[in-house]
Amino acid sequence: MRDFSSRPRRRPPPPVDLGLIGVGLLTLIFAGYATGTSWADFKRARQHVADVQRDTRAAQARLKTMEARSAPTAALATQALLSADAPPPRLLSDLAALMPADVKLDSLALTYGDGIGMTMQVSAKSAGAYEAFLQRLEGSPLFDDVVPGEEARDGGVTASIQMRYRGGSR
Amino acid sequence: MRALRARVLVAIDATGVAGASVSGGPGTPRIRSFARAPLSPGALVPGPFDPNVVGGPEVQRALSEVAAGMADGRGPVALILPGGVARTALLDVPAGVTAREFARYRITAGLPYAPDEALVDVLPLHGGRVLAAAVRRSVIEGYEAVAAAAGLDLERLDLAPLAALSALAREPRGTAVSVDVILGDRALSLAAWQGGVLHVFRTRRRQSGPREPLWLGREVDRTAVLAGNGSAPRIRAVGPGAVALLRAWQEEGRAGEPGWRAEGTLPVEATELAWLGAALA
Repeated sequence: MRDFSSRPRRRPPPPVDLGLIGVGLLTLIFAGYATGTSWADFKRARQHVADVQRDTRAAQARLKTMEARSAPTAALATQALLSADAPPPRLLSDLAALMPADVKLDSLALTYGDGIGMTMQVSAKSAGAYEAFLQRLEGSPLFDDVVPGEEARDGGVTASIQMRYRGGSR
Repeated sequence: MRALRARVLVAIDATGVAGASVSGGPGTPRIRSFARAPLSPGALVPGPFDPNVVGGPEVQRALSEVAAGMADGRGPVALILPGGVARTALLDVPAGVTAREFARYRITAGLPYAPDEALVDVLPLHGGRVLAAAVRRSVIEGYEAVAAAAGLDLERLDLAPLAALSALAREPRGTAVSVDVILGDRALSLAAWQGGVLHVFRTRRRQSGPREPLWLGREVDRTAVLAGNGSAPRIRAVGPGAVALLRAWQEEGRAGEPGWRAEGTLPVEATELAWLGAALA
């Protein structure tokens, strides 16, 4: 604005300058507020991430524990399945059908796992009866992996035999 | 943004002191208060060389009355000096220099007083032009002294012709020549525009009397010719006597129009107050 004054005057700031200063101050205040709220949001988000990471680690730990427990659980489930599929009475019936009259079953242990493992102790009055029993086992489709174990021969034969029962998959 | 604060103007001329508090934007100014105090002949003699304030106590009293009669009259005021106190020049400012420096360089060379006695300022115009004005320091100091004695808080000092022209320059103009007549109590200025560019700015002493409208009509025609076009120009008039001048021109078949209007209570037509342009620009 023109001024023909003989000496410089101290002029009050024009309204436009005051307005701009006001706008600047408001912008500064708003920026400070926004920065503060953003920082608080950031801290909340960081805490949330930490919580999620902690929950994830806990969930992973629980999962590992459950996985570790899952093997016996699976074995039990398999045993239950095989027991339902090949019950011991039927297994004994199939075994008895192969035993010669001079061979008797002293003991039998069943192991449920990948199939049904059998460990049995037999007594035969003669070696011939024992050999005949082994041949019947090896020839039977109901049994495989027949492995003769220790045997004692003193006229008769006392021996252990390991094998697998396949009758459940018939 | 200027409308946030009322502008207080106090104008002084040979016949009296007047002041107004103006609010509103440039397009819709509103006169909040107006005051006027007459001066007896010879109390103030506007001129470019000698001290203008002759009757100091009377001028001081008139300034005090006007300030007291206005709302905001005791706040910062712009003191508007009359036409005829300045040497003016229309300049094209080259690139690389400030308008005020260039104006000082160009205008002080032809002054009949020492360059360091000149107070120079400019009115920026369209197209890189400025209207430069130089006022003798002793003349300004006379006005400042009497205003200070009257208790005015001077914000700035302006010249009535430049204040009026700054407001008139805002009006859109066509390609035809237009002439603005800015009247003062003792002097008048003529500004000729073409294509939105100010081509001529002249200052003459008034020849008050019944033949003034005829004489002034011829001066308008000469100014229009100097602007490069002899066709009938669009004429606008502001300042004391503008309404009577326009009426006389109308009677003799010359069309003219008031420079501006304003809202609010005024004892005279707004176009009678050339200095009001300081609030309208």
